[in-house]
Amino acid sequence: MFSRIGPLVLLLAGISACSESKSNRLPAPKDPPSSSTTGTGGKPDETPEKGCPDDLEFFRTQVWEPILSTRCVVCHSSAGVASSSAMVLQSKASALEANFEVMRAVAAIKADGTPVLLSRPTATHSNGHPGGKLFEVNSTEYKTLEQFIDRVVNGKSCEDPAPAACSSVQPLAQRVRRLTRAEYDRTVKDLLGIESTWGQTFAPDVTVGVFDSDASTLVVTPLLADQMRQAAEDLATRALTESNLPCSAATADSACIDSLLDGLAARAYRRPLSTDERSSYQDMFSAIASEDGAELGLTTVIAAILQSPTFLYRSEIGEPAGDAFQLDAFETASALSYLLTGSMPDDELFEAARTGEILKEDVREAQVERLLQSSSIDPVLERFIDQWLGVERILHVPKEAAVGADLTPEIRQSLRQESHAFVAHVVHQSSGTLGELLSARYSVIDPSLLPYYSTIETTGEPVDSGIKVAFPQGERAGILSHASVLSVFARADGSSPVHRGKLVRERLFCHKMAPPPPSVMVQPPAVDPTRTTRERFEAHSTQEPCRSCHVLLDPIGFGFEHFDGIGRFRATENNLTIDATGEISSTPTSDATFDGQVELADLLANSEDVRACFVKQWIQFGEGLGPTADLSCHVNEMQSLLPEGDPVILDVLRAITRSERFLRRVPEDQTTGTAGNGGTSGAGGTSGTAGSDGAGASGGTSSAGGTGGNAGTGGSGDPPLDPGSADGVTYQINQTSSDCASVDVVNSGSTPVSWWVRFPVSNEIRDLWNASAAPDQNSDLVTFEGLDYNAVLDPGQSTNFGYCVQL
Amino acid sequence: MPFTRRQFATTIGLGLLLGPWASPNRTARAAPSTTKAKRLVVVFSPNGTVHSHWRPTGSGTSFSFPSGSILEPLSAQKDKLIVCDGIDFKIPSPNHEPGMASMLTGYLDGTSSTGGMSVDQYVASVIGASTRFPSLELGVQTSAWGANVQTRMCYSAPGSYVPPCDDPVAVFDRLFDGVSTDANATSRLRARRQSILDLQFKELQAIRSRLGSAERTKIDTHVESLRQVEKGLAPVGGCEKPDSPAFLDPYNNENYPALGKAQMDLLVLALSCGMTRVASLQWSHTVADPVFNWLGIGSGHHSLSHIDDSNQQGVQDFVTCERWFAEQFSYLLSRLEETPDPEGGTLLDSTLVVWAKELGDSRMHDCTSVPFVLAGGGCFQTGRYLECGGEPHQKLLVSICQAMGLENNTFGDASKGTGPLPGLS
Repeated sequence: MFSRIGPLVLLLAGISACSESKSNRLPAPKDPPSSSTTGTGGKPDETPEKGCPDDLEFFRTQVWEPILSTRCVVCHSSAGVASSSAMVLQSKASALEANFEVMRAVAAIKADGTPVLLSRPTATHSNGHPGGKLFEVNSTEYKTLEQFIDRVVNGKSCEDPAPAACSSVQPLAQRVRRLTRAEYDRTVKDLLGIESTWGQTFAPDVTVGVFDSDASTLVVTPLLADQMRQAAEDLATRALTESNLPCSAATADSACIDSLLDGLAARAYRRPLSTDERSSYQDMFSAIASEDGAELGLTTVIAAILQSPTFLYRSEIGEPAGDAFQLDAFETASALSYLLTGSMPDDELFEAARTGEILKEDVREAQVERLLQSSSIDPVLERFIDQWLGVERILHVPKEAAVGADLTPEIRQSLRQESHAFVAHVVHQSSGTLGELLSARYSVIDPSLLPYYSTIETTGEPVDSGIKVAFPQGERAGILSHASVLSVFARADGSSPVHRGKLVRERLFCHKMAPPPPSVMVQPPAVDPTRTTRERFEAHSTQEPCRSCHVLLDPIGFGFEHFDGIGRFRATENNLTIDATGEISSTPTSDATFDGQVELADLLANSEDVRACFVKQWIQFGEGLGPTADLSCHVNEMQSLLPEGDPVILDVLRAITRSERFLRRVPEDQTTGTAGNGGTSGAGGTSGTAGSDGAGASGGTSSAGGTGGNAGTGGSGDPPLDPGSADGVTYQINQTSSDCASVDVVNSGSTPVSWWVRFPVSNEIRDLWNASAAPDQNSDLVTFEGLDYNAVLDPGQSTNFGYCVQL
Repeated sequence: MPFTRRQFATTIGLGLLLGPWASPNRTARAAPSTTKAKRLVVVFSPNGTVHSHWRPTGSGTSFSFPSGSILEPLSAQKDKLIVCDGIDFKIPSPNHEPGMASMLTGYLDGTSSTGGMSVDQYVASVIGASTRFPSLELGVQTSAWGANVQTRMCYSAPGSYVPPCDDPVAVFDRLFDGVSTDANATSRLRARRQSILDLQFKELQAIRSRLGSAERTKIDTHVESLRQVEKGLAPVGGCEKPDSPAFLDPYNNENYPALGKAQMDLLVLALSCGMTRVASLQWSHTVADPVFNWLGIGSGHHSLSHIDDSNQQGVQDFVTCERWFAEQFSYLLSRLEETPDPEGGTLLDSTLVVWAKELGDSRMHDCTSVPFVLAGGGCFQTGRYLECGGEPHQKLLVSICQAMGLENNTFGDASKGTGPLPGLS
């Protein structure tokens, strides 16, 4: 038979199994209600626990700050989607000790002999990790957690240095990087002087997270091989007339090919050709010229150059240098040029490589400055913006016919161009900071957009690529208010607080949002001309089970409600007042409330969390790494290279080139997980799905006014538990389907109460909302408690929770 | 993928091995038994279903598609179909992405006997060696979000996507590349391309020798891909080059119907010309939000797919969209039925067509009772409504393989089920 145990159940079961272990006190998965603990409160244990003296400090500096606070707490909080797991944390700084206690308990839980703290986030647990793979086995994060477990569970490794200690940045492995589609077109243009759109027609590169530059996924599939052949043959033919070749097709001979190999081929290879390579091309030319004539000989050589692996892959293999490898002069030139221009080295850079000068730090820095100060950086900025904020998708994002008429192909182009021109203006003509990018009160538009942005005044200052226009006071700010971004993050037929909240959460804060759990109705609210979008969507963030996730998204997305589905300002919706107040929550340092997109933009522009995320994304984008790459130390190093405060975008690129790992490589086996294939984020693990055969949830309908009891989780040696509920609390179980039940809880007493109820549940709980559940390991009793938003009931107040069981 | 000795061998002197690969007469020889299908076509359309509007009435051989239901457009072809109800993806955290990734792979697992390949690729690895394309992947607007676990369904290994081509003109150019009536010109073109390939193989080996094992895999993939290009050097024979389809922006939502029709026509053409025996057609991808403006529906497909029964108009709009997909499936079957198999009968008689989805009830984000429709192939008794009662989809994938003459008894995660789907054959 199939395993019918869901992930949640195993975690809950893990608590029970684990609490049998005498050496570890087990706290409740969340703070127990203060008014109802009578038996198990007080000091942890009489017997000394295993551990190291500085465990708490280790936890704070190595586990909490770099890992849990940024990557886990969004879901693993009482309001998060993993609120029913054994690991429920609090984002506030004052909860450090409570979080430590939770994690100490989690550290002791094992499944299949492996601590779940290691198997879950690496998605190697047999039930996977609903939040996906967060990092690789043996990554720094992994080793840190391994040491944490060793310390708090076994009392070992107390003296060992923390693996995450950033004395050295994780080195990159030797590798080759296939040109992305965008790099292909840019390189062809610089190489042949031909505007190529071939790359755009190639099978799309793999997007891991947000960007398509993850080197581990850039491979040549059969389809791409065919496409690149076709492109090369076409470009070679065009080169005869459109490119600057050493000879005409009719006069091509061996001497001409020699010149071609010195020039075009060396530039394509981004290094001089070896003698062997030269003779291969000469042989090719003479064999074909003798049969098919000089012209076909020449085009075949050019087509071969454009398909050669040396052209298609950037080499980052390096030369031996001490205990590692150092990129050679030509590899260095390419690394700089692709990072800073998205294309092959120009003549000056190529010359600096040829002479070896590029290996000198001052020469290299001068080259970096030269490129950063020129417009050759623009394609890189555009590519980053296109992907970071989905700007390129404005060209094709499907819309209902009613607005499609306004969003013509020309307007779509102009909207994308607006975002590109704006970024170039910020970088070259203004402060160049992330803050300005996010909060500028102006944009740079093509005048044809004035009717589209009807609230913008028609006078603007002419600048390089359009006119600089001021936004009406209080209407919009920064790039998130561009119609390009707002249209992409919307529904086909309206705005979407969900999509826009997710945009900010994932792309500005680098938080990974888990998908809705299965068996949750996820219907979008029906279009209703008598209500605002916000009113329709508000159910999401007030009702379980949607609330646990949507409370993280929608209150941010509501800030954009003055913009319709294609980014136009609206003062009212359906003649109703728009409420654009909102809240940022569950972030390390950026929690705040705001009213409207302008205030939201200012909050984001000043957020340390957003700055760190921005730097991290530039590293991923520029270094060709996927979201599971180990960047913990590198981000620290980068931030130390940057001035305090609002990062200047070009400074971020500058810092990447100055990082100690930029030109250094090590063999694959000396890295941890960075060379892994990030191409899949498929389901992890195996488990059953809900059965369809009948059998009731527990108990049918019952009513109990029981009092007393003990809401704490029973440790071994505690007296057996009885069914019951908190003082003054009554409850009624309503079975809603064969496997699910809804429970009404009422405070019938005269004082506020932190409620709990306990009754038998004969099967394992699969889904749970509006409550936490603690199964008793000695019986089938389960104790339910409220979550932070419904934990306390005033007299006469009621709440409702529900659950489904595994049948 | 390991770099085998065979692959090295092909890097030298390939001219000697070129020749009769793509001749339709030669490929048509292959069917091992009259009860096996000769070709496999997998069709995907996204975002689950609403069972109450999908299910036929009746059971077994006595069933019908209710008026207004999703499958009603297939009524005329009912006798050629098997409607498979009650097939579950028994996977952790069922949802859009795990559903998409597991649909054809039987769950992504490199350790399984099928190596994490999707069923089309696995079948192609056995029966596709003799054709120009071991398999052909066609798409309709699958790629606006790039290639990722949402947008891809065909895998050559865990994490290795086999991408579809979304542009019918590019598909056409690829199919008929190098086809010329001038035999000498064709042979010279082939020689020039071969010399380029030889140079590529040589350089790849030089690069490979300097890299570690993960990076070598990358190079090996490239070598494997070039071997397929090499196969394409031979002329396809058999088929006259027809007119190219008209160019349509492959990303423009309004071109969706025309792009789909062009791709289906090309798919049938490629099968009938013997260029491949395994093909797939992927409509959008999971979570995709195409807007069916041509039906007067302004909400995106993904939004519609999540509408609850309380919103009757919304559900009706979704059903209308789904009926449109059924019409497209019907068109594909008709084209296969009217196209002769060179060996006799129609293409549909000898082609197993599978219409797959990635979710069951889209409102619940689950993978329970994922709707499958099978057609043609001559391998299963058609004209049936099959209630599978929660069988794991791995069994369906085994059945598909066995229908194609393969002998594997498991597919993907064998712990969920082994052997073929009971009641299918």
